[in-house]
Amino acid sequence: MHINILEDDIIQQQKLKRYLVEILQENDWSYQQINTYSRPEQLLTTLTSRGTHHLYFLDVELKGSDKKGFEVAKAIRNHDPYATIIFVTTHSEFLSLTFKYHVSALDFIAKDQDAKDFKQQLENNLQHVVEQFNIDTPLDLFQFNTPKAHFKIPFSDILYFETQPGTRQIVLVGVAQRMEFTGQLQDIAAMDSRLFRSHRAYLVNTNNVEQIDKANNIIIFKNQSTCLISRRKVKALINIL
Amino acid sequence: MTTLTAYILGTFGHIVQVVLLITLGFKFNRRTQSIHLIYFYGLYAVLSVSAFGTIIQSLGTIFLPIRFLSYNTTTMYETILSPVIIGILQYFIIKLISPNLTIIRKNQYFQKSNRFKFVNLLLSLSLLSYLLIPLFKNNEYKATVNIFFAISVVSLLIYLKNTTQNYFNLQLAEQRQQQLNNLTNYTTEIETLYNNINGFRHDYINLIISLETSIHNGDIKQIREIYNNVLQKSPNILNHDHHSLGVLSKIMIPAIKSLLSHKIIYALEKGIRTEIEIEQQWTSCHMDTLDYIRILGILLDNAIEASENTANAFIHIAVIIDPVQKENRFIIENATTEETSSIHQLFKHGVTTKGNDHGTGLHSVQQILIDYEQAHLETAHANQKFSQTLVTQG
Repeated sequence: MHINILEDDIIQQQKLKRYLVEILQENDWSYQQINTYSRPEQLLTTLTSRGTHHLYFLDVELKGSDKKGFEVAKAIRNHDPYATIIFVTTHSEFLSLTFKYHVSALDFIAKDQDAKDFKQQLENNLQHVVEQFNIDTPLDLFQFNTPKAHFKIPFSDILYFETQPGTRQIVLVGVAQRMEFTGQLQDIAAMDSRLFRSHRAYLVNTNNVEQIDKANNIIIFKNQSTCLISRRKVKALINIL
Repeated sequence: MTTLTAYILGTFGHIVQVVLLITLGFKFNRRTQSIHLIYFYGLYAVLSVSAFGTIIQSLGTIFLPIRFLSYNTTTMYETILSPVIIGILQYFIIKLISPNLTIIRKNQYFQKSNRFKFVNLLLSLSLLSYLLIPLFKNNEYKATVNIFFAISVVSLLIYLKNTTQNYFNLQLAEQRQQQLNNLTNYTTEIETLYNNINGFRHDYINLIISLETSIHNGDIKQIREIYNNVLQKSPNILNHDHHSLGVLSKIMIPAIKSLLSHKIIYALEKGIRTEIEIEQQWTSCHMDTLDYIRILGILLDNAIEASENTANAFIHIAVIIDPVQKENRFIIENATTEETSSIHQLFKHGVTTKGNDHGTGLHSVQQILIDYEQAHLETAHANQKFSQTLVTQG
């Protein structure tokens, strides 16, 4: 893990750093370095390598401008689509959801909550990053771009795609999410060789298949979700697995 | 003997047709349409063709001098020309009643209502009577019943058209009334807020003036007292929850403003911390406004219900408008008690985490979204946070 902190208040900066070190040591999570910056320019000039293991803790309100942190986040996002961005800010009327969406930030952490909650929230975020990092082969994103739909999702989060009967909509069922969009199953199947058409209405991520219930023709995924498989496809899927 | 066979064949044919249409309807539309509607479609298709056929053939007997035409011409009229005329007639009639059919199709409650069942019942009776016609030996009698049948089917159609129109108008009026009530509440709420701030301003000016005199006199003790006094009061007013309502002024669609203000006030009254973010002017929702607010209503109700019982109840709403891509994102996040859930289950009909009376919500959302290719729902649930995003494109 490669952690960067941008915060112009030295006390806050050191406090955050101390908490992070404590959490990392308590959980025995490895990290390379924690860099602290108090000016955006300092941080932006050091942007070099990329990846989800790059963590940025950004203060939103920096000297001179009350939304400087968002601009920095945008610059980081332009440089590295996979970096993990977390805003640390005093609770205020910022458009937190809006900005979370615009720069795909992982979270907003309020500075003015009590130390225990603050630390807990930090730990939850780090936990998430560590989990992501363990599952993902680096930078494995599934991207879908058509005029009618566009999204990015880590490939490991996909369980299966399903057609909606009577419509042209497809449902993506993920580990912790569900998304509808317009498209065609065979187009998606062609996008990645790890996707397997198990049934007229289903396209499954073979990486997340846990077992196949041959008696009922059902595929069971790692979070116990299920989908159908047609009988004549069972053999082919077993061969792939 | 021959008539009996023809009769049995005819009856059999009609029943097979109806059963076939209903089965096909079931096979392809069961997930999206109700039984009553499929039944209605099946019956209507068969009955309308028979009824129009009867009308056209009797018109033929009246206006065409069949007596003087050769047998071939008559047969040609009955077998070739009349189906074509039926087709054309059918096209125009369906065009005429299609708005009403849309109302029926979109309205699950109407489909289950007694009025619609009554129409179905009458249609079934008409079919029965039509099938019994050939049993009459007397030809004149037969013709009368035939015409009677045709008229009854046509009047049934008119009845259906009128009832749906009334039903729709009634609903529209109710919705307008509701919207008006919501906007009135919203105005009251804003007025209260204004009065609070105005009162605060008044106090504030007085304090500043007294501060000025104290500063002038150099009375540090009094200055401190006044300062503390202000500090104690202001956070209360300045951080008042109801400030989030002010953002609603960016919504240019009254129906949406009305619904959001109503639900937010309701959530605040329940003690749920509610925040809303709207960055830009919201002028279009890229789909039928009534459908849009029906979906928002369901999403907001679900969020309120789910977060109500949590320790740290909150609802966080954001509207992200992209004028270039013509895309709107309505994001709603709420606290939940469960860490995560199998989201896909929630969308199955009748499934709910909140007891038996609920659970049709997300299913209804799906029903509405079926008609829109450019509208989608995204759902995520992690870390005791449930989020729904409604994406609509223009």
